[in-house]
Amino acid sequence: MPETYGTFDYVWLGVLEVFTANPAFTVLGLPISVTILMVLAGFLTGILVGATPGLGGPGAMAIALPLLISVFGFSPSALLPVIGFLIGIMKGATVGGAVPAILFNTPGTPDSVMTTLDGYPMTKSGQAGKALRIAHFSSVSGDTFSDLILFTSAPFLAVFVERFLGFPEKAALIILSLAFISSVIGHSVAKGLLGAFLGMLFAFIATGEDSDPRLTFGIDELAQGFPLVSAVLGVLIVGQIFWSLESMWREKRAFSVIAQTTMQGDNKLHWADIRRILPFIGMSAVIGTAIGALPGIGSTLAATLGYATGRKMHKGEPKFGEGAMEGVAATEAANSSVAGANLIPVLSLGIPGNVSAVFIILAAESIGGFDPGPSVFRFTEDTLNPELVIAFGLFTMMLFANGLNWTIGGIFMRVTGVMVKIPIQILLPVVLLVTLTAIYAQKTDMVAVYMTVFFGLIGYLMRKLEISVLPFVIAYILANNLEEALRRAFAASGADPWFMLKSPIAMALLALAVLVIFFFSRRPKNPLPEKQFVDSLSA
Amino acid sequence: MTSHHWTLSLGLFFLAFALSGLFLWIPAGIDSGVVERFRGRTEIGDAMAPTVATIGILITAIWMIVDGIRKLKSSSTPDGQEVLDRDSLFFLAMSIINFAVGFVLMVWLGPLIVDLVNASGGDIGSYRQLRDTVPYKYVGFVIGGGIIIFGFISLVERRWSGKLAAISLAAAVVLALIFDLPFEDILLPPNGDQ
Repeated sequence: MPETYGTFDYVWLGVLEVFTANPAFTVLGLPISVTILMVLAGFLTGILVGATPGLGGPGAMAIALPLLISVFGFSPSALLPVIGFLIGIMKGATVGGAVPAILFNTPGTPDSVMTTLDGYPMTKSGQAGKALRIAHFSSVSGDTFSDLILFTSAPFLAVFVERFLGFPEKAALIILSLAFISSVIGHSVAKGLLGAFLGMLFAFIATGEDSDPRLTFGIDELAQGFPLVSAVLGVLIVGQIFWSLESMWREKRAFSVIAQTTMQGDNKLHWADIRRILPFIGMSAVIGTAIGALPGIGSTLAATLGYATGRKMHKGEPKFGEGAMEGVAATEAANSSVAGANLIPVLSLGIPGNVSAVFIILAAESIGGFDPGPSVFRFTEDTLNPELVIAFGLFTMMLFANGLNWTIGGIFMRVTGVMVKIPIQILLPVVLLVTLTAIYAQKTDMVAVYMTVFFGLIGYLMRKLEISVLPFVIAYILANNLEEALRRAFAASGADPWFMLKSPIAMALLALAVLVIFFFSRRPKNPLPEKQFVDSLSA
Repeated sequence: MTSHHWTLSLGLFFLAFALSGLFLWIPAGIDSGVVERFRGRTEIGDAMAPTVATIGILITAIWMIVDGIRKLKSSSTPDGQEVLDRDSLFFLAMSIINFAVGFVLMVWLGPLIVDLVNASGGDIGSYRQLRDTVPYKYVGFVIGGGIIIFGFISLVERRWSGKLAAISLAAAVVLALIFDLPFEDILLPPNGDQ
């Protein structure tokens, strides 16, 4: 171990932690670490679930997390394997989502809706293989670009934030993030804010500094508060399953008839094709990365904007919507480039901006030893900052997953078309039981399972009443951090009631939060269907 | 009811919720005040954060009431969509019943079978002693979990059949094996807290 630690030492220790710590076995004398195996397993799982309509990366992450924690435990050595598996899923699901959209006109996730517009016409004209290759190449390119932006910007942003933000500023930053997420997501700003305040109120139950847990009605089962995993997975995953089942119950769709696809003619990806799609990939990667860096704005908007911009750029035949490979490229590059950038607010500020990031935070909070936020990027020279080693380990795992994506991702992706044949009305109840079992495996308490169902019902009702669930979940996660920051800021100010307005930065952030709420509440929020939205943008 | 009616109704509901929270729940449920004096220093008390969050709910509730009334009165605003209707409440009720039946079977079937075996002279010990023993460790999870899966599939497909029941039970058995066989430390529900 070096006596002092420079930047390169931290990077190298992160790489070693991923590749050499906890070897599972050796191949030709080379140790193969558990972490590497977990990234690979997560990646293959991610492609598989991404290719399954009705499932998706977040659902798989939700099920995997409690199970992984049960297996690996709560020791610091569990962090990288557990987060590695989640990152693998995140990366794999990004490319897998295009498969059912292209082959069967069935978007597995909202992000893939735009992929169907050109992907499925390509399939109908016998070019399914080429469409899948275009989707894979574009998706991995966008994802890699986004990761590079993450690696270069997150540490600098974190160092800047750490240097300039004290407790009042951190509290104001959390308030701004919650205001932004509440305002941009969903049908109305009022409902977004309502979701955030409800999330906070739930988080405050049974926490605090008094000896008696607060707001529990004297119920013993509430004395420890709601398990984080029950609240988050209940609202996000179980609520979504209820909502999907109810939609199917209303529509009583026939899912069994799947059209068979046949390929004809040239289905390979040539250099000429790559040259045609590169400008579209580049533009969409920039759009997706910019959108991904902002908390709360999802990959669906990125895909929509990427497609709309590509449509404006495109000249010649076939037109967008009629089987243009540029349409597939523009959409897939945009929605895939959101993933890496989504981790910028997580790693630099400790604020999760989307559902996948929520699970990374949840894993870190459950296991301990890694507290995503500006303190991670303290380049201490005299003593080793283990969190910084983990951060560089995380970057290494992302690069490794990208390597997997470039090499074996395309092949594995093309064989997962069979997943679409599983009837979703059977799959979802099974996923529901898997989720509940996974939560039980972690908490070993039926009360945690009942609470998950309770939060699932809340999530279902919120969706039905058009109250966005993401502000609720993110507020639930950040509420106690916010309270702690406010307590410390108040104490440090000597009990000044105007403590939040003494700092110019905090005041500016709070003013921005008010402006964001005001701006978005004055704009009509009637979400158009994606196709209409694209038409309106391209007109 | 359309979404505009629901916006108004939700606003009224959360207005009542926030007022009861501010004047009943928070004062009764928290020992300290909004601000506390502790060892000569003034500090933020445990009641501060919940009070601020509840005031936030109060303000957004009033906002939603005003918004709902404005949209209902305005002739230029199109009718809101149906959001939570009688069918949704029926689905919700059926889901809750399905969970209730499934969880009762999951938690009590294993101990009940052990009691029956003991009552018929089997003397096999308590369920707690057998909770990691085949077949007792599987019976509650497979039957209760299978019922939950079967209930939802039947609800969505609006039909019952032996085939669906078999698929549900098979899925529960496969899940039990997936969770139980590779992981020595994992207990299936409800065996961990028996």
